[in-house]
Amino acid sequence: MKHDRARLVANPALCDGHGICVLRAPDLLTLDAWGFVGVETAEALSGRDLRRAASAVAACPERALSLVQVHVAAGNGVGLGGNSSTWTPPRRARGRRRASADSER
Amino acid sequence: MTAPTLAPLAAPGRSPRADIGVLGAGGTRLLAGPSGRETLADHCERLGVLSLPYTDSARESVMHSVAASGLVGRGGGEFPLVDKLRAALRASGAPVMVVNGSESEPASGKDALLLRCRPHLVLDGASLAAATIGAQQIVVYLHEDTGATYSSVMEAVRERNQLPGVPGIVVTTCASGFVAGESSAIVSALSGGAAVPRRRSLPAATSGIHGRPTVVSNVETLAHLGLIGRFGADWFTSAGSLGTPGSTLLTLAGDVISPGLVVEVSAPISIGTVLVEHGGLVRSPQAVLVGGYGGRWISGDSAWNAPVDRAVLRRAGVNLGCGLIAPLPADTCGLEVTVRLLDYLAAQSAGQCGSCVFGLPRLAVDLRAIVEGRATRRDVRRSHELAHSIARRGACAHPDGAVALLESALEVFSVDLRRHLRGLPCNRGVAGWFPLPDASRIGESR
Repeated sequence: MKHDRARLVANPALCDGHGICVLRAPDLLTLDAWGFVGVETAEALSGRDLRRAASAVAACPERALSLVQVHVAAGNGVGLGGNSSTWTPPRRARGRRRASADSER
Repeated sequence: MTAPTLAPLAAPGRSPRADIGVLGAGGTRLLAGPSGRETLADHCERLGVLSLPYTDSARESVMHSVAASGLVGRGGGEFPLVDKLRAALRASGAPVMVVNGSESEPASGKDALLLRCRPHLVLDGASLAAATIGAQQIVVYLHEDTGATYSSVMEAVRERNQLPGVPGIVVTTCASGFVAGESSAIVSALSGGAAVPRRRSLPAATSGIHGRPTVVSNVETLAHLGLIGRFGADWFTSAGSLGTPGSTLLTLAGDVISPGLVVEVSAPISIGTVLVEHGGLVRSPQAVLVGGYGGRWISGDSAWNAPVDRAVLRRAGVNLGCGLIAPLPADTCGLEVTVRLLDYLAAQSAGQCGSCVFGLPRLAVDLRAIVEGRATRRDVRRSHELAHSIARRGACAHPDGAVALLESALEVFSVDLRRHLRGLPCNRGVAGWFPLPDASRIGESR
């Protein structure tokens, strides 16, 4: 799914501190002292920021990150209104993930 | 961070207390009437039977009253009730009305008092809200270890069977625990999951229990609604201020003559006046804990003139929360008390979010090192940074409350802090009667 403008949101209850997301989007995400993620901006992202955010979302093995689509017509594009929709990537099969991780090594 | 400044609100241009004859003296509304539990017969004789809206125009008029009253959630969330009702009306699915009676703040007693003494006022409000959003079911959600409250509510449900056209009322209990009373935790528990907060993309009023629109409302909020349904919004706003219309229940704890006393006051009364009239204080204490265990310390002098007004307090960075007002006795060390409260809050984490699981115990350990004179200025700075990195990182506001408590303690008790850092005793202990949670119970409820 492709968005023009979207907000990056984290579900801290799902975060397990893998930390891959921060490598993908270092300007948008930070880790706390124990390696758990926090989103630095609540603003709607577009362009390069949005591409990086999407990459971070796709990288999370716990699906703790998601993009919330923002409709520009809905106002200034901030907040979870009735016309937002969330998207998280489908969970990849464990086996496939391991295989691809092996092939990268 | 700058110290919160609390300017007393200018007197509003209308009479702060205008009571209807059936209500009590001294501006009491919720607590008017007999001193003990009020039965359904007495309740109906005193206030009359509340008529529920069954036509669209009647529902519209209730929504209008709720909007005009400016009633917000009195459990601490301060979310406008009318917004929840509107969202539930717009959403599809069979709506559910949840009465949140799980007063999780250990020192707060206002919701339990209402459920024990005025259960029918609360259930009136719940029935009115349910009828307005078209909910066929009301769920009363309580903690499992609240015996007297539970029996009072069960008795009230039995009594109400004689009333015509009441929606079904179910009373359910959940494991006790500080975060189990958070509204997303309640929705999770009632959907068959664990009573822990969940991050939701849609508010419960839109998609709650099994995706049904679910309005979760605090007991005090609904009790107010029970009166608004009878006397209207104009009557409701005739007490209080623009920032906090209507009366407010406060629980007094700490250095007061009777800790646990619940009082009903109306803004713009000051915290000092409340403490003089109901707490037996003669001058300002060294500090006051406002809003609950995840609230904030305010220095005694600024608290003394601060109005019990949610809007004014919020502007100063203080959340009145569940309405806990706890002055700290002069011979008690505020930092030591804060360590114990942080220990408690850390133990009450639902164990979901890393920042909360690892962060809160660390905040408590670091502050303990400061209190025991094993820390330096640099450690205090690190503690600030750590607190900052935890804030707003949880699925719920639990860690934020602990951070606010710590930050306000370091600020308000700065003189004591300097003594502790130099390894000098602050010559204060921890008086046993400050509302510290029972240490033996910490952690067992998870």
